[in-house]
Amino acid sequence: MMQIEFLHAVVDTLLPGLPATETKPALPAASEVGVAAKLAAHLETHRDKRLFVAVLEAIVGEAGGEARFVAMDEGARTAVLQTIEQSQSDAFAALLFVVSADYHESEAVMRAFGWRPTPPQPLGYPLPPFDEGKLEELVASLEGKRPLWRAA
Amino acid sequence: MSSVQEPVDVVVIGSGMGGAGFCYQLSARLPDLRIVCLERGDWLTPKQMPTTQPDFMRQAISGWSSSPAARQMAAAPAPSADYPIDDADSAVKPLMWNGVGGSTIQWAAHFPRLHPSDFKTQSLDGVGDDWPFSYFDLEPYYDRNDDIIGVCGLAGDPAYPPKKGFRMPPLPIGRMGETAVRGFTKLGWHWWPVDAAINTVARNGRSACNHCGPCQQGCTIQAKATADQTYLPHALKKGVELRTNAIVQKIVTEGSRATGVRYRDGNGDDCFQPAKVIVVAGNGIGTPRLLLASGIGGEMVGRCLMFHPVGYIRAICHDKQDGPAGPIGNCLYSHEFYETDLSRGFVRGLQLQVTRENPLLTQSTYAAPRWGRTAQMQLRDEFHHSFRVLVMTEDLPEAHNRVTLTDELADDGLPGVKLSYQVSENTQRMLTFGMERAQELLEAAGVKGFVRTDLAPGTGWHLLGTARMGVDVKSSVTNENGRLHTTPNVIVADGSLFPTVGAVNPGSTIGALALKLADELAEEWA
Repeated sequence: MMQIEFLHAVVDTLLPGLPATETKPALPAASEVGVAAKLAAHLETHRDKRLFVAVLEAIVGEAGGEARFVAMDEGARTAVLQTIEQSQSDAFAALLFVVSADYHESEAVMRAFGWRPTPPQPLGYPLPPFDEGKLEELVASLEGKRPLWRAA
Repeated sequence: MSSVQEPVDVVVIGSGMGGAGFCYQLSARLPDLRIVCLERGDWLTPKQMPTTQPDFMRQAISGWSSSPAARQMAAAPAPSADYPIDDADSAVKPLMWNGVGGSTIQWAAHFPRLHPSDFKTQSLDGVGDDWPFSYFDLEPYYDRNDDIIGVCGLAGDPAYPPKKGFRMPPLPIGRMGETAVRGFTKLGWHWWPVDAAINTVARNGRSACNHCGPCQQGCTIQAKATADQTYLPHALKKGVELRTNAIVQKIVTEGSRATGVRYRDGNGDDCFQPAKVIVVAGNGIGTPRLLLASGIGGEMVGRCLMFHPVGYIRAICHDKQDGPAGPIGNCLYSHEFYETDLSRGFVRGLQLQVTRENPLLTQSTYAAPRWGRTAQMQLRDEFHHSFRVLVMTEDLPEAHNRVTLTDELADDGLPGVKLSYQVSENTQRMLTFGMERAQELLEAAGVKGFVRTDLAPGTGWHLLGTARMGVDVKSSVTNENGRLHTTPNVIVADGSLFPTVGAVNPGSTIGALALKLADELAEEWA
């Protein structure tokens, strides 16, 4: 059983929060939107739970323990994860996929990215219709090009 | 347990664009015929499609991927009746959907026609082989097909002979289209809003597109035309019988005549369906697989596999673009470099296709590195600020690019299937040239940056050429009517028939071809 603090540290190294800038919104860290708790659940129920456990145990081994990984700064944690990503690339990719999916499906994250936090249907998205006024401009720009196809 | 079904006039294998189109036209012309369509998969309902579900982004790159290989590995695969394909030796990986409607369930519905020159590449350019008929022979069927399917677009494109018939207004090109147009206009290159098999107004009981984005996950509002929502309902009304979950194992022959097909039904029982004519429309992999498993069609079956190799550039823009809104494959295209100009260093040509962005989760997979603070910053910078320019190139037929059977038996009862495919030197030069032009376009459009993918392996939608039509028995599988040279009462009616493939999406031509072939059979039987 892995400590939730350790899972927080893992998912936040994969998907850290970002502060807002003058032109960009803040992004929440993965643990802030429940990704660590979801990962804990995946370790019990997911089809690939053995792969996930293997990756997490390798992280613990590389770091010298869960607590040591938690105590590391972001740079050191990143180095540990990069080592494990290289040695267990398929399993690491499987873990990254579920963590990333849980993160990007989160309402808070979608809102932070400026996107509506609901599925694309049934509402769809508004786009202005094709500007028929463009047609004249288009045809004029193609004068002298006609035709572009070869007779055959 | 084996059962012999009542004999029928025609059995059609596959219910995608080719099979459903054939059923439609033949049943419309000769409604008294007994026609059975055998489909290895099942109907799909809007409720099964992920775009109304919170995990739609996850499904798009796992269970609802367009890749049958990815679907088969997923925890929750989409209900496509897939079979394993060994693509380890193929530079391009196949995409398809196996179910009622075929790959139109997941297609982007970009609906261009071939050019007239595409039918005469040997005569004009000394490469490939001429089709046994011309663009203008197929043109009436293109027009009819447009009408049945429902096409939006803009008349007057100078890249084509004038197209007859009704077109709904074009799809919005959006901010990304406007950005690309800046580049096209500055360079004086051709561009045009795409023809798309998508309703922009409500038509024939189907809704208008609401620009939800991921057409590859099925269209819950049926704005995107699919074979199961267009051809098939008409065909079923005319008495065509559709049997789903029916996996054809073999075309049974006596001498040079086929007598029927042996198939496994949804209960796993073996059945024999006698028929006067057998129509095969299982796509460019499924069709040669069945012909090879049946030992018919001759030496060329499976050879000359063509894909349309694709590269693309993701443009990263200063200004906000549309994000993952709008039908993903459909915005605008350029045929500036479509026709042969040998000064470019290759023969034949390519299409530039401006396409929209993927959902947030898919976009997160483009980050380099894939995770961490830099990846987060990159995604925040790029989301809502990107689009793509695809370079779609013409493949030429090469016999060593092929579909073969393996020694193993797959779970569906048929032999395993293997692809061997390399990008040719001519196509590689075309890709290189096209990528340079795409970059030139984006520089002219004033974008902030771009990311190049010089060959995108996961774009093998267009499965073509593996049962090619022609007049020379030695270099083709069928005659001009789609009939096998070896077994004339077997007709191929899908993209396998293409002797050459142009540089555009093939759906429109597959549909038109199916209507033509069905018409020819009807003429013969009338």
